[in-house]
Amino acid sequence: MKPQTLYSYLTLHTWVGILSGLVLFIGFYAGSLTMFKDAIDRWATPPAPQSAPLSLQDMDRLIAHVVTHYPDAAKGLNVDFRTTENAVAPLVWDHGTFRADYAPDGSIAVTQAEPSRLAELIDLLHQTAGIPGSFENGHDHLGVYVMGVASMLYFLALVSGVVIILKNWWRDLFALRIEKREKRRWLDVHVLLGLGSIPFHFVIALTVIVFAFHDLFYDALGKVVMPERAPQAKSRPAAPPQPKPLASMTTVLENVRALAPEFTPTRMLYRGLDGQRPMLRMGGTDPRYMVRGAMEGFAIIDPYSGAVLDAQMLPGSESGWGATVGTFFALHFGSFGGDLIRWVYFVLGLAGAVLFYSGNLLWIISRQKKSPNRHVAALASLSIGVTLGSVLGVAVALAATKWLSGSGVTDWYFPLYYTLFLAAVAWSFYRGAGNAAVDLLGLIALACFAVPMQSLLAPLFPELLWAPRSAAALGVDLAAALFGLCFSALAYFTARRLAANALHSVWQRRLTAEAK
Amino acid sequence: MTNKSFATWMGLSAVGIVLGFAMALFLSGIFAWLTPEAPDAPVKIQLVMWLIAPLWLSIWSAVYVFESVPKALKLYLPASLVLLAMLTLTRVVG
Repeated sequence: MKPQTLYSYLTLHTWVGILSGLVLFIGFYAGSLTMFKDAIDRWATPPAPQSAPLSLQDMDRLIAHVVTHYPDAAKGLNVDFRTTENAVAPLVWDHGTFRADYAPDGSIAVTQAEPSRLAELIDLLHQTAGIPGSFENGHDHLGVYVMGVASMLYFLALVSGVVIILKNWWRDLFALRIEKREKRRWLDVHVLLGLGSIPFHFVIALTVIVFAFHDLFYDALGKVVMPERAPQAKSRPAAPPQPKPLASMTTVLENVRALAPEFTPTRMLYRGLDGQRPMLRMGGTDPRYMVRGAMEGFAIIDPYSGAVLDAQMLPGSESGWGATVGTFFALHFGSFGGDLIRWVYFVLGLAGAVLFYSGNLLWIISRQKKSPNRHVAALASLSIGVTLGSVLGVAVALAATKWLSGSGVTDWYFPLYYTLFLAAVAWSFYRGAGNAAVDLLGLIALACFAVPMQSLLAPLFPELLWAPRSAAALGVDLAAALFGLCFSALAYFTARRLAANALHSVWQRRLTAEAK
Repeated sequence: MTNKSFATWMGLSAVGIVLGFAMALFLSGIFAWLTPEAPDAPVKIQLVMWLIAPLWLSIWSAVYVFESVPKALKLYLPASLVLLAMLTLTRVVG
């Protein structure tokens, strides 16, 4: 390879990395958390008397009652078969606001509640990095497109990173030169993390690009590649809008199990029962197969006849083209190997976040000697503020979840997150990156420790707090405590290096003031 | 060792983005027409769509090998035209 080609790819790697690193950091650590979304949801759900699982006939009766009496439920109705503590009611609609169940006396009770938006916050951070703004009735998030573009730069960074390393592959890999120069050490961490999980990174980069831009790709294919084939109307036979009896659960399950014998339903969604295209989507798992979605596979069913219309997303019955496409989804969601793969993806996601963080650090360290100007100091402040500020926002949201949920305050997750995030960025510019890092790491550690404190204090505040009721919920508390220890250690070591004056001046505020 | 100018970087990126996307589209189109089933068969079209991103990004990331925009165009432009011709041919035959 010509030396100038290598130099080109080094330059490319540096700039696409610095442009995309911060949003990718947020997407990755939040993505790690989504691997345990169900556990977090179970942990965050206040205790409520849980009815015994309904028989299929009782479920039929409840669904028929709700669909007839509540027009909003006909638009979209969630049916929950799960027995975990976050299954608040067998029927839920309008974003979890309305719930229907049988009262102890056997009558049908519909209640209104404010659902927790914690899972929504984590999902949104994962998909949009928290970048606000949406269009087309809120269906398209601006942040998703930003994430898609960032993933293109990320792909370029991966290719260029591999090109740079290719020459010195064996020498650099597994050579953690801990005691050598600071830059060398961070470079080793960066290379080890990057190369160590390179297939995962290529998968994530490409899937995110497709998630963001699939409409554009389909349009281009339709217009350029197959213009002679007019887009086929993909509509199913339009059902008459007059009310008809829904297919019974027994029929539906029989039809699905005829295709996937070990299918266990977890959740169902009735959609558009009031419109021209009614649909029933049944989600469930089959331990023998990987699944299409983040948690489960799906079957699309005619809600009136109970016939399976589309089994391509059903675990185990994907074949040919569908199996290949299903693989792409499963590889992004880490839904192909149960809890083991979930943990592997959790670790890979966090390692990815550290990879982007170390990339920014390398950019700063390699420039602090050459040209220690205010731009470098500003990037240092921005890097610390954005990464640690985002983590702080989520940690505090978790630490406040039980207190606020128990006291009936709702809808506070997003204001709380954005306030803390912006405050952290401002603080990082005001204090300088080094000092702000110590402050923010300390605060994150405190917030992490406060998460299990809510469970420990539950006996003292039985009205407000509650203890975990499952191993999954207990796991959230334990993981938070462990993260608290990690962030404490990071805060301690950063403070020690600052005190020893081991950090370069771009990490201090006064340089910013002078350079102006 | 000379570094590229900012204009060269942007020009190469534009070549990679535009012609890279065109070539990726043509290649996945050729795949769609030459493989069994109709090019827009319900599930197959999803796979065809998934092919675009890896092809596009691979061709795009290779463009920085060239030292100047004309040198990149000298390969990328004829390659795009050849692929377009091949796609047209497969459409007529298929």
